[in-house]
Amino acid sequence: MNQSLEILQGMVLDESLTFGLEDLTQICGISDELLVLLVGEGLLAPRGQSPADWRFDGLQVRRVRRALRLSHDLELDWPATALALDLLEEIERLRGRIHCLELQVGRRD
Amino acid sequence: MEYKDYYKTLGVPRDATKEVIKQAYRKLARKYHPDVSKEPDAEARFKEINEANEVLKDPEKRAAYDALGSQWRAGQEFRPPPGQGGFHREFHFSTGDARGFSDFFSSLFGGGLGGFGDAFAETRRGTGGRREDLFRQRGQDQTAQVEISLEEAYAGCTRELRLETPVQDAQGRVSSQTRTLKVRIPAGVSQGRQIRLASQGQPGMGGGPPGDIYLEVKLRPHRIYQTDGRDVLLHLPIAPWEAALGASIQVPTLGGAVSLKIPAGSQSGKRMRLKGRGLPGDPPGDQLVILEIVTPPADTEAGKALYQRMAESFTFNPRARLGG
Repeated sequence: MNQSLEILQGMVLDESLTFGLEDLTQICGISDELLVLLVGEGLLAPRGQSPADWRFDGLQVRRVRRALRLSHDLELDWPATALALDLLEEIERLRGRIHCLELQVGRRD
Repeated sequence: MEYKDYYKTLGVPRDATKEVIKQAYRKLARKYHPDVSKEPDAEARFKEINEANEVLKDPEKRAAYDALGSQWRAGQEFRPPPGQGGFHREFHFSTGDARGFSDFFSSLFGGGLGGFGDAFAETRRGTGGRREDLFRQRGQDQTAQVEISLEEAYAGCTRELRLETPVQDAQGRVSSQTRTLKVRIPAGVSQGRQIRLASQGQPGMGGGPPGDIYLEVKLRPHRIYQTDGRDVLLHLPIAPWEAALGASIQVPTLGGAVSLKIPAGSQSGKRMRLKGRGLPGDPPGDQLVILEIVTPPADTEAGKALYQRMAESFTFNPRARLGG
């Protein structure tokens, strides 16, 4: 039975992908108004001046979905969600940096 | 099915006020939220906390739950009393993000709109966006992890995944079905990146579209390489004479061995970059080579004599920097 399974091709959400406003709202299942609000709150920083020119990279999908979960589950308003996301990402970045430096100095846990 | 002690889950007494329940939920939700927590069982704990809160914060659902009596203990075998299932259609679910509540929950309150609604439908409604028809909802997104080797990340691979998907019968009873998917993991995926499989998530309700699957890629630790994004790190052991005199050395990379010229006078810890030899992509990663001088053991008379000659020939203080 497994032989007949169709091979699914996914979309890797990384820096090399670029989305416009419409793509991102469709993928994340949110309204244009909410996305504009998230940009206004500094939660997302697209390239481009006006909403029609905005370009988001693939990593922003994870950021939006995470923001929606945090805001909903922890009953946070958008400024608090933006702060939580920034701090979480900073922690992840620092953990990654520590891990990398440990590898470079030859510490292998 | 097992009885769930929602008061115990939130750590509150049975006569706790709404305010106490809210505080307990918020505190536990912050601790176990899967986006925040490092606890290994965070996701499962958060589901339990969310389910308990869904019942205890709502006076009607709490009253129905309390009516089961206080003689039950968590984990005890539970069968809903006859007719109990009849009332679940009357409940209103304030959250669309139930993320698969337990059988116990759906036997009491139904699994319909609350159990498997769109994770974001409520957010949409709650933030002034489009108001969705309650009976037409997008299916819930699912997330899963896929572990692959670094070689597979380099070349790309295909993986079979088994996902548990909740399905609901006409009576609102929920059971779990296993679905098998075959997924192509493209070359160059790095640690922690997500792959979106559009419309492969849980089915929608009332003609709503299905949700998506988000696959998070985890790279299995490798015997000789480590990664930093698309860059690949390798500690390269070299002999003291290769470091001192310089040498051309065959270095393994994911795409096959390449020749690396070690300059004369290299020291341990020196970093060299093999451009474009990391994980493929646009741009591809590099391979970082970190030199590690390994001294041969002085375990023969000839070896000892050679070290002795070096000690006598060099005016060398490796600890000069320490002021010694």
